[in-house]
Amino acid sequence: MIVCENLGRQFRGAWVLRGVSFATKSGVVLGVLGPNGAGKTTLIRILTTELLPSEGRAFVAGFDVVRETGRVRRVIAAVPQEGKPIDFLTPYEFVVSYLLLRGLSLREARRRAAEALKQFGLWEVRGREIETLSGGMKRRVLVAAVFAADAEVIFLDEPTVGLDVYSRRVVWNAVLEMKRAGATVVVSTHHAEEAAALSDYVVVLSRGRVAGFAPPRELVERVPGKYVVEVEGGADSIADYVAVLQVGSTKLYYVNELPQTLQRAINGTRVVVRPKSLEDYVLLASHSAQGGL
Amino acid sequence: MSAAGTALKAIRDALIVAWVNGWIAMVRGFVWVLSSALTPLSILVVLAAHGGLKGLKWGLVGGLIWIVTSSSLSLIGDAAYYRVAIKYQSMLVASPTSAVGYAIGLALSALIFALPALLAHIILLALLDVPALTLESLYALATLWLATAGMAFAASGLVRHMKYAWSVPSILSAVMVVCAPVYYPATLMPSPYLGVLLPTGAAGIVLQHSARLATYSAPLLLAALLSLTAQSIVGLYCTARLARWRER
Repeated sequence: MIVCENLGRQFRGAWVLRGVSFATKSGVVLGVLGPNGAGKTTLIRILTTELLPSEGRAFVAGFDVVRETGRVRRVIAAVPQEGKPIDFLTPYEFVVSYLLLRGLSLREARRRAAEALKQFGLWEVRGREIETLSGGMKRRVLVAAVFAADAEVIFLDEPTVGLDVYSRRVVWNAVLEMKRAGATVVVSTHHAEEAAALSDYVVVLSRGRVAGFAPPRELVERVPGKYVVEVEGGADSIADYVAVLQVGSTKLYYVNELPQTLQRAINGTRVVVRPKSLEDYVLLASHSAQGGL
Repeated sequence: MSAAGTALKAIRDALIVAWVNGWIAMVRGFVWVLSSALTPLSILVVLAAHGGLKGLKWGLVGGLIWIVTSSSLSLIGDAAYYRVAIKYQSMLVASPTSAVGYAIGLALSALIFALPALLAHIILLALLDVPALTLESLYALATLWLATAGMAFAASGLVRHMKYAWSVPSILSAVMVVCAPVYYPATLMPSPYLGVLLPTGAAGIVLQHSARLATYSAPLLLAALLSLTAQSIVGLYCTARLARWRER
């Protein structure tokens, strides 16, 4: 469904994306995860036909994003990063006009807009100008429009940035709903817990390269050790670790045995012990790309 | 999709964009319509005060060109706003929306915004019995609209920051109207043929002749009409080429 073969993009001589290769089947949620500047938006802009790749090939729904642009555009829908709806329109007008531009009849556009606005908790404010709505509601208007499009492949570039917990949940539910309806959903985020909660597969980008591509659980398994002990202050208080990472003033120790390491760690410093997670994979991958571990 | 289907989709999309960005925007923000009409109206008052009835006629004919030009150039702001500030264009790129339809829709919406001011000028010209709206002058205004809208769409692609998106149209409008024979006869220029270099000047020559404010030779009128035709084709080409929406 989505295939990237050695995909790369250069901006003014610098590679922001290079050697990106992965393939997913249809009807899955693909999380694109990575720190700021990892190349997530560049990848999505190439896949949504907005940006030409400098090298390599990519296919969406079986169509080449460079040679079959028109066909790709017919089967995709996207909410861009930092996208906002037109503020002098009402949510209803925005969704209906977007669906009309996608080629739907007025009757069908109205029907789907009403359905989507109800689903996203926007029906009560359907007649209010968007500029009077909260940031979370504005974001939901965008996602509702894309949801109503019923596209085969949907791209959501950091759709939950700046959202409160309620709006974030609404977006998450929508992603899962789209998947249930048979769509392939590509969600970019820099929040590992979001990618873990939503995705069937995660592609981790670090400095423009793929630092991992697998189901989230598999990526977590690749993190060394069983637990993570976070020690603030940076003192070398733990010896039996399999990997260690310094993030600001905090050291993250990846350990196999918990009780012994805990005793050594609690020595006047703030200690947090937690199971390893997808976030650790991203942290280690980013560190590795910077010439660390 | 067949060529006819593609053309129909482009027309449909242009009308939808014009409805959204032109009609709804105008109905909800009538103050913008007033503000866009303010400059030509101000010039009209000054010319009428100093030049009497003749000044008023020059102001009305020049005003028609100013309104078409400034409304088309305001497309720079709208297109840049949708592309840079709210990323609406990115949303449409990832959809079957016609790129040309979108661009023409934005240009149409600018014209819808200008309609009240245009109508006011046309009614005043009719009341003063000025035959400004001949076939030639309508052609001149239509091609002026195409040429400046294409130019605006091309320029909008260069805008990287919104602070330039709103200021550039005002500067360009002023330059294109002041540097060309819009409010004055082309005979005041070193050569009247210099007047046809800008689409505003070419339109000015045609309209002034139609309105009997100035008398120009047939070759100069022909040059003006040819210039407008050529520049409108360039404008359409710019629109079609740049409206591919894909960054290289």
